[in-house]
Amino acid sequence: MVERSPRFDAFCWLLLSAGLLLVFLPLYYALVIASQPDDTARLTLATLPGSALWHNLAAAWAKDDLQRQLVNSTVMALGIALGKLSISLLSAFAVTYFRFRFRTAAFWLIFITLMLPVEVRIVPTFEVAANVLSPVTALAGWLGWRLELNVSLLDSYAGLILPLIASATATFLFRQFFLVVPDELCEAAKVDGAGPLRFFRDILLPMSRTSMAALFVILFIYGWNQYLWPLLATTRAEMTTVVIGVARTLPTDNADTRWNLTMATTLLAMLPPVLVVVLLQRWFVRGLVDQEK
Amino acid sequence: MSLRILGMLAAGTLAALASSAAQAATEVDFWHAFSPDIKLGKVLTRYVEEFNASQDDYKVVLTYKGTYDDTVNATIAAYRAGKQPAIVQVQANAAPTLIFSSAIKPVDDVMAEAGIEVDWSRYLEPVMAMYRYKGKQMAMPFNTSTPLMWYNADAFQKAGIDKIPATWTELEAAARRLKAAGYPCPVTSAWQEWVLLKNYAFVQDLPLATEGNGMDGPDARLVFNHNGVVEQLARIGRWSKEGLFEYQGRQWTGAHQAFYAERCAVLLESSAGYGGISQNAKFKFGAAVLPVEEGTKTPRNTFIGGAGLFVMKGLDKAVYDGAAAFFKFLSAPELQFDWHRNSGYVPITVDAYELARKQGYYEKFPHQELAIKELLRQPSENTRGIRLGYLVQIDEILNEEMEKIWSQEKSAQQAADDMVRRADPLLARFAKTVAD
Amino acid sequence: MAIRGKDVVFKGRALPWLLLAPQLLVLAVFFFWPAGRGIVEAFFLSDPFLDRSIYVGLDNFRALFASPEYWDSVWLTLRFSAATTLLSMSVALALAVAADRVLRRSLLLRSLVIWPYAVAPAIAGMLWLFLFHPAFGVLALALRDLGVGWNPLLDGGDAMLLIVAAAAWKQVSYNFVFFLAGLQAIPASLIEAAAIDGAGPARRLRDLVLPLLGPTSFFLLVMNVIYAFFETFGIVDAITGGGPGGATRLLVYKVYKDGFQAQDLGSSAAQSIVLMVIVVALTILQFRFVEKRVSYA
Repeated sequence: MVERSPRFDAFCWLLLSAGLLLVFLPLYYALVIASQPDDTARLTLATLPGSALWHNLAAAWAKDDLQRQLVNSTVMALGIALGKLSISLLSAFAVTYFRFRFRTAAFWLIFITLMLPVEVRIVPTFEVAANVLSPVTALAGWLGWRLELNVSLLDSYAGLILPLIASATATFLFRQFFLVVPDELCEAAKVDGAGPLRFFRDILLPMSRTSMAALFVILFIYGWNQYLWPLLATTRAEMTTVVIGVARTLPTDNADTRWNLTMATTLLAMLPPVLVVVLLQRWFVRGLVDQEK
Repeated sequence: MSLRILGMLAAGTLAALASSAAQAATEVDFWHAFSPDIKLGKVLTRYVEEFNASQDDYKVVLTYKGTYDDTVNATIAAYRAGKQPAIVQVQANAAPTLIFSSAIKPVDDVMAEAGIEVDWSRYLEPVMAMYRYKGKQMAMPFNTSTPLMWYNADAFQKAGIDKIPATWTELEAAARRLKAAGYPCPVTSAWQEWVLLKNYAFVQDLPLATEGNGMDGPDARLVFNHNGVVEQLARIGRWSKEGLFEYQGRQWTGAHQAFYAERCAVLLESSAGYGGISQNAKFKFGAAVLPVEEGTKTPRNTFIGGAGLFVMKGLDKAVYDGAAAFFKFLSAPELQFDWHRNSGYVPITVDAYELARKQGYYEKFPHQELAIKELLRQPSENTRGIRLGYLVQIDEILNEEMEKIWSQEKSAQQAADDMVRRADPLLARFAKTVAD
Repeated sequence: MAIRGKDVVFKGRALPWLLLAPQLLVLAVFFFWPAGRGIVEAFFLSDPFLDRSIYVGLDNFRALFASPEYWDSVWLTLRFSAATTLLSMSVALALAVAADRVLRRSLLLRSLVIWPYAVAPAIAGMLWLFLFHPAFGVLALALRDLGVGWNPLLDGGDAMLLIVAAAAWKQVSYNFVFFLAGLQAIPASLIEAAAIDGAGPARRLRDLVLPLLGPTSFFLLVMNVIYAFFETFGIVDAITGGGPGGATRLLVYKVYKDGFQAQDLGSSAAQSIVLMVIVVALTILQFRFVEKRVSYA
């Protein structure tokens, strides 16, 4: 162990405590509000937890669609996480382990998608989701063919998921990971006569387990927290997600304000992603940073 | 992916497919912005259920699409993809976009083609005027409100104010007394550009923009930097400096909270604010019409807020007939009176107003009548409505510049000039997008 | 510009494209096609229903660049991104160094710190607003009682401070976890060797630990800048709505406002392009100047 320095240790503890306090302040306050009884006049000024936490949570839980919304959010977040993982692993493998023409172009083509989040291109994206074959028909139209093809993804899980996996965060991260995998492994595989796919399956994939777990967490959170897209892509109540459910409890134009219920719903909506992060954090971190080889 | 998830995926897709299959009654999609969790949404749901139960031909399918903005966006995206709903609830500031577009079917046409005769003269004129373009009724008014002056009656008593201020000068005097009585925020306002600027111009009969505030066509320009509006802005700016006016944010939440907490004693806010105020104010409160300028002989009607129902183009005749039948159902005096009572919005027909009066409703809830009285004042060229393109951006500009007056960063004249400088290019751009 | 690959690679022409195919297909349909249509819109003036589109060339861009308010937005976005990135990364680093010293292997600590990462930006914004809204925020009222002039509703500096704090709060947790893991990946023997050589904690941090954290920091820098540019939309929307007086009108928020609320598609599309160019430029800069100095194992 390194030198002892009680003063420096004490400073570290102090720093950590202050940090934790800051991190927890908003959560504490959310709990305070969510636990207040319905008397709303000074509700936001409460500083100590009230007595109605369970009551409010139960009321939020029992609301019409909440449970259905939780299922939808789960399917959507899982779909985004798993879907993006699969396509990104393959493409990151291609851009790091091969030299081929236009490799740089392909990399930038993928990387540039980090720069234009779904919010910015959402209306044209909606048109594609309303008819996935619209690019095909439009291209055919330019060439002078008339095609009538219509496949709508609205109000389906595919429609919720596919447009959101069209970006490259995961590819970028896998590339970073693959870059630090020692070249000797690849050399050895080649000496043993293993082809790229076998190397990918037998060596790279097992090694990437932790990275995959980490990305799974990131993508699950990303998917869970989507707001704008699910709002557009679904019209049926049974297809909405829980983040939209939270927004629904926010008072709109002059409506009655029940901040305590809003906060209780918020807590319920936050719980699954927080659990995923906290439970999987061991892999979350190791996968992205640890240089275990 | 586990089998269960696959199963759920499949079930979800199937459910989505099944629900779009043909059904006996013609479905009329209605997208709106009233959360089903709040009272307004519940009342609306009840009306739709009653309508659906009242006949077998049509089934109105109600879908909550988030905020007003979310609802318009969803509608635009859907229209561009050919998936538009029949009826959509659109807030006043987004209405110009729809009225000037060719994506809607005027309500006049919808009703006429369904063979339903409507006597528009039985509707409240300022409400109808807002949605009338080139002589045609473009949308069905729905939830309509207008600003009032809400006050804390206990605070007035404490400050020794026995006459409710009716002019801005009287309000200033009252504000000084309230300040002296210990109220840190004598006056505040929700929706500042709507209440303090637009409604002031209406009541005082001052033009805001050319082309009759844009009501006659899209090629309008702002003009209020050369009239009394500037003095009004300067006054509130001075109040802000002297601590007679305290700004609580652009929307309503902050102003309401400060009013409930008895920090602010006068709240200039929509008539529809009644629901929140009655529920949360732990003191005696009252309401009055908006103050006028000292010596105003004929104060004009106020400007409405809220939303109207638009019908989108490109659907089957049967769907339009269903929408027409639903509109007729919504306009019935009994239903409008029920809406008035439950929502705090004004009824849209004179018949409903008379029904409410006959039943003695206003003896118990006098403030509910104030809004109607404000709207029934004699209108002028300047008070038919406001119909400006990119109004959302323009409102944003008004809000930003007003904040700069309140914080003493700019003079009222400077800010008003900047409002015009920033808004006019937008108006010019918008005019180009509108077909003649 | 060449992109780092492996020194040892496989041969193959068709295979890499096959591997890329699913990714490229999804991107083509759900990214490039819609984004391309969005970009085309930047050169048109359209009504939102696209019933009428007029080609206007670069007019949408000219209108933007002629507006002093737009330049304000550019400037304040850069300030916001720099402040948020700097704040969240430095706080996270300080906390990670402290945690690494006194609580090397504590899973519990990490769990306690990591959770804000899972909170949706809009919800994070709401939580902070509840604390600091001058009319009903419990901490804002406490500040007022202490005589601190806190008013994010009228004071642009206060408003900026608030959104930087909220945005950084959400990101500190993420950065912390990565820094801590990075620190823990440094072999204890290296640290001990340096200590034996007489290097104190500060010198070890500067000369040994920080350079070894290079790849982590680079990764975090890219992620934080992108986060600050794009994902903070929900925070601004929930807390300030771009106000007061436009003091927190971040570029991404303005894109959303103009495109999604005001339906000014042409201008919004033009702004998206400007925004994209800025971020691409920043990222290239980072790759060029920062990645070169970072050593991968």
